[in-house]
Parts: sequence; structure tokens; C-alpha cells
Amino acid sequence: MKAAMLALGLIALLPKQEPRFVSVEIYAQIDAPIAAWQIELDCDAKIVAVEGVKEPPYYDPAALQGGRIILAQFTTDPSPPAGRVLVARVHLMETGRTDYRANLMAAASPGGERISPRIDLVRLGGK
Amino acid sequence: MDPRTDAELARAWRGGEASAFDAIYARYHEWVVSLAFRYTGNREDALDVLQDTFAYLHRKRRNFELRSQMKTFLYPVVKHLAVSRARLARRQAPLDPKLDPAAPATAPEETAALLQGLSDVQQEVVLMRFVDGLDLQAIADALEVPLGTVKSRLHSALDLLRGRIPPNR
Amino acid sequence: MDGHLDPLGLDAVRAGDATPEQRAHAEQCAECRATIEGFRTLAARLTPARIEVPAEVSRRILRPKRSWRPLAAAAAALLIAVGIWFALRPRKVDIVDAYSVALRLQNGQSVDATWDLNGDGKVDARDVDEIARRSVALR
Repeated sequence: MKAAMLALGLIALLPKQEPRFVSVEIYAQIDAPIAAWQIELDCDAKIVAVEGVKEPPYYDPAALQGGRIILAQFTTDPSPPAGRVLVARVHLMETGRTDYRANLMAAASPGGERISPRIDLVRLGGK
Repeated sequence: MDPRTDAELARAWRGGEASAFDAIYARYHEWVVSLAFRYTGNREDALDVLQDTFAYLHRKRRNFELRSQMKTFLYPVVKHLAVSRARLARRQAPLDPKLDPAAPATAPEETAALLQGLSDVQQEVVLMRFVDGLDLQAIADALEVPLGTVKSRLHSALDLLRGRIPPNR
Repeated sequence: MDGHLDPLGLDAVRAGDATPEQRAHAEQCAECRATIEGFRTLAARLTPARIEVPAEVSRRILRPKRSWRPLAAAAAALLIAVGIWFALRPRKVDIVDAYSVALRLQNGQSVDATWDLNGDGKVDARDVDEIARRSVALR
């Protein structure tokens, strides 16, 4: 199955800074309930931690301290959220200009049909 | 030169037409041996990989179905055969223990200098794009990674490379 | 963006698969054209010299009368290794597969035995977990 590639969230920052911790919120948006999602995040920063909404998403621990991670989660709740849905929050350490790219790899409705929500990123200033 | 597309040649060959296989070989054998050399660093081993690759293709004839470009299909086969052969060669005659057989073989000095500072995955994507002439989706398919990953690797590699070659004026 | 093409855009122009907008920008922007030319030079320098394939090698490949060539044990093993590698490489799965299996289990529906990824003889929540873990594994 080919990964569906939709909206790329690309956030470019100002040049060279001291290392700083930031968070990136990942949203999936579609006018339909999202029962399962799988998203790849690729960036120049170091991934420090991953936070889910109701529970942590699946991810490969090898991704920590690197710049690429695949996150996924599903719910068998018959009425999962629809619209613009926060699916995960990734905490990172930036050490300079950072580009972020997020790609949808797979998603499904409660019935199991594959859907293609748009993926957005929101970068939150770090401590 | 046979004007048929890769998919047409694959279909014809699967149907038993020997000249279709000849056309596939004519079209790709130079690229296969060049790609094999990238990993073996050795002409003899690269020629062996060439033979092994087409022997493998020959064995797949009955079920062969080309769902992508021929290079996309052949790339992982050639790479796997070449890396395996390079590992075998290193076991038999260890050279530089720092060399990772899965990384592109030590290129001529100038090439190594040009790609210095790039990670192995960045080097691989640059070579697939600049030398093998693959489009980004084909690279993603050949490496079995998402298109976004290819774009990210290439983007950061080119960012590093853009200042290295003085532009021709 | 600073009014210039980004690296992928520059490379697209170099490779000939740029959009009309990217091509139009490159035609008007000397700085981008210079970088594109630099990439072309780089590509030329990275392209290795052609490796001559002896006619006998090609003949053996195209017209294998007996066997391909006297296959050394190592070469035969390599071919078998490639076949095994292709056959046994982990099945490509994604989270939708995990979800579908989980849903069928929850609904008491039968699930194809090929989803018994942990090989314990049954398909259950542990296999769902395994599917999900494989979906997110980095290569």
C-alpha cells in the first residue's frame, strides 16, 4: 500500500539559535470521524518525547534523539472525533534553523475505509 | 533500440518473447553494473553482480509483473547482491574495518570529497537522483520509504551541497 | 521562502521535472540559475566512468545454453539469499491493518490466520500490537 502523501506542514524558523526545547502539535483534519491514523514527522531537530491525547501513540523508540519518527494510533470507539483533531504532540530540541515535514501514511474511518485527512503542524515555543 | 516501454517489455518477456529480455538487458545492463560498482568498489565483483541480477530476473520470469519503473524494481536487488558480495569480500580480505558494506563503496577521491559531511542515507538519495536519474517517487519506491522521507533527505543534502561547486559563469 | 527556489525546486529544474512556475522563476533569476548550474556540474562529477561489460559476459547472460556460468557456491548462495530475503522480508503493514484486525476481533469476526504475526497459533490483541509496532518501525 502506498503511503498517501497529503498536506506537508513546513515550518521554517529563523537562523541559528541556541538549543531550545519546543513542541510540535500534529493535527489531522477531515469532515469525518478518524478511527486510525499513521503520520511520519521528519525534521532537523532531535525528538525528545512523544505525547498522545488519550493515550500515547505507537512509535519506534529508536526515533528518540533522531529527527524522523512514525506515529500511529487507532481507537475502536464507535464515535471517534472528526474535524480538526489533535492526534499527538512531539517534544523536540532545536539547535538552529529547523524545517518540519509531516506526511500522512495511512488513516481510516470507523468502518475501516481508508481516508485522507489533511495534516497540519503547530509549533509551540519552548521553555 | 526497442521503442517499447519497460512495462510492455516485461509483459512480452513474461509471455515468452526472448528478444524482450534482450531489450531489457540492453537498456539496463550498464546502469546495473555501475550501481553494483558503487557498492562493491570492484569491477570484477560488479560484473558478477550483473550476472546474478539478470539470473535472478530470469528466474522470476513466469511471475514477473512490473508495477513500477524497471530501475525501481532492480535497485534493491542489485544493492542487496552487491552489499552481500562486498561483505563476503571484506570477510575474506579485510580492508578498512571502518567501512560499512551497506554504505556506497569508497568512491574516487573527488566523489568522496564532494559528498563529505552527508550521511549515508543522504548520499544514497543524492546518487539515486543525480547519477541514476530517478524521480523522487521512484527513489521512495526503491528504498521502500515514504516520499516525504526522500524529499527531506534530498532537501537537507542539497542544502549542504549547494555551496560546494563553484557555479559556472 | 526568500524569493528563490528551495533546494528541491532547484533540483527539479536541473532534472527537467520542474513545474512551469519553477522553470519561469529559474529563467528570470540569475542566482537560482547559478545554483542549478552548480548542481549540474556536481551531477556530472558524480557520474562514474562507464564500466565495459565484456561481450562474453553479455552472451552468457542473454543466451544461457547450459548454466549461467560455472556458479561458485557463494554465488548460488547469494541468489538463494535474495529469494529468501524477498519472500521473508517483513510484510508491509500499516496502522489501518492493525485497526481492521482489532475491529474484527472486537466484533467476534474471523480473522485471516496470516495475521498471526507472533506465530503463537492464534490471532489476538498481541498480534494487533505487533502489527502496530511494525507499522511505525523506522528502516
